[in-house]
Amino acid sequence: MHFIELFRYDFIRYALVSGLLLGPTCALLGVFVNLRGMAFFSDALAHSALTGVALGFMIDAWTGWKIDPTIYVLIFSCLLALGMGWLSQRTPLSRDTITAFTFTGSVALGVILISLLGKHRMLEGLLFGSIYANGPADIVHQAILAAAVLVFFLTQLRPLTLATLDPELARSRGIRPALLHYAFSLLVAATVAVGLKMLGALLLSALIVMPAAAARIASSSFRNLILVALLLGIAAPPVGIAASATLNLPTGPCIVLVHVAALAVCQLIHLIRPLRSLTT
Amino acid sequence: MTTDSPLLESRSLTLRHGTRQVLTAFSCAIHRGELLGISGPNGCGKTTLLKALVGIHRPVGGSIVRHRLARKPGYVPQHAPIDRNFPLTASEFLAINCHSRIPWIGGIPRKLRHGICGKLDCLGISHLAARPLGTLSGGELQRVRIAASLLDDPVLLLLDEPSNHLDPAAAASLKQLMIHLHQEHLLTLIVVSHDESFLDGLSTRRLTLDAPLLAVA
Repeated sequence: MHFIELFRYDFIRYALVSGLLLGPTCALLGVFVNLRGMAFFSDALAHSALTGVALGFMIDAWTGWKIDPTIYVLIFSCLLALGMGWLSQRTPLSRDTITAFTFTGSVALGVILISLLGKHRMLEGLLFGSIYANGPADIVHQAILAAAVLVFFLTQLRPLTLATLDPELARSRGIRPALLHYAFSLLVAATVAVGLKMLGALLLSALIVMPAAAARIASSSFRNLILVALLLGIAAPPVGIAASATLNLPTGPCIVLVHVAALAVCQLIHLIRPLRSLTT
Repeated sequence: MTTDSPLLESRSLTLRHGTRQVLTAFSCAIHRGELLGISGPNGCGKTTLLKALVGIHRPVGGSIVRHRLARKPGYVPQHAPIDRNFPLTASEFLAINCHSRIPWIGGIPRKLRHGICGKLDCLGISHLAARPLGTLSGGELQRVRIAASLLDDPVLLLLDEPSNHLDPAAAASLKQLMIHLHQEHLLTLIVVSHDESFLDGLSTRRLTLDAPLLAVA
């Protein structure tokens, strides 16, 4: 199928818009997920979203409500992110350990709830997602999220960067690193809730972590880091969707593999650059 | 408050670090033009005192009175190990230290360029502007941190263990820089150091804190 012909289909157009909204949003968040060592945190939130969906189904079954599962995941992910932040300040355990037990505990609870509900088939959709299941309502959610992330970064990028590099110095400049951490964690949680449908729990954290990881390898200044991450975040979803549609392969994994390829190229350039300077 | 009033005055200050009381009823005044060196053994409360004077540590008793000129003092905290792979250039580090509402997306915003380049020039480190922080030596990084603390043109600069992790040559060069800032730029400085020799020939007044009584609150 010719690439242009793909755009005749509504679901392809929605998928593309969805990718173009979520790709750069995740990439921008990913810059600080990487710098703050929160890759495991975003992965844990993505997997814990299973429990949010399962709890939503149970609440709907008991009450007869018909609420969008994204709302349940959003509430659950935000509570979990706040809970992990709160615990990390009040226990001697490391942030990694807290994330690990929250991650495994909530996934275990989610699987039990899904099993009790008898919705085993739902697990595959939650784990792998489907970008083609996006509709206009999802696009609206994603646009609101993208706008929120953009506003946050335009207003808080400077304090967030300083708080990430040197929290002590940030405090002396009137910045509240803990508050910024909570706000940032909530944005990651919201992104997980909104992006779950597109890539699923397994692949979502790749969309957050990988563009920024590739950009970090390729950049020596912060401006380049942001620009390269955004560029990869924007470029990977359309390339992945096109590859998936033309080669008849699953879309989520195709997008992730585009990011893996970009990361490999950046690493290669990083390895070759010193060698070239030696020969010139 | 007159021009002769102290820039900073602590009155019966009591400070706690965690559950440990490190200073009790401590009073001290810092006047304009002084270069005060604070020394003492580990754990005596030097850093806690400096943080309280900057305003980021709340005293459990007493008060700190700041002259209007010392409302926004410059502060160089104890050298924290930074992520050497953090992709931030020296000039970008100064940009994130600016009190400004101008949106920043990396690089140096045009409106801040003059101020940032001026400070790097003033400290003789303009050649470091485009260098990533991770490639700077300990001495170079310390100068960049001092340049960042001077962005708001403070009259008072507080430095916590500035010579830590520096080799003797870099420490001597840093000492010269502080004397230059004090004498040529008329800055009032408070320098905390456990290294008595670093403060020798530097401070115009010396304050030595005693080891605290291990009073558990």
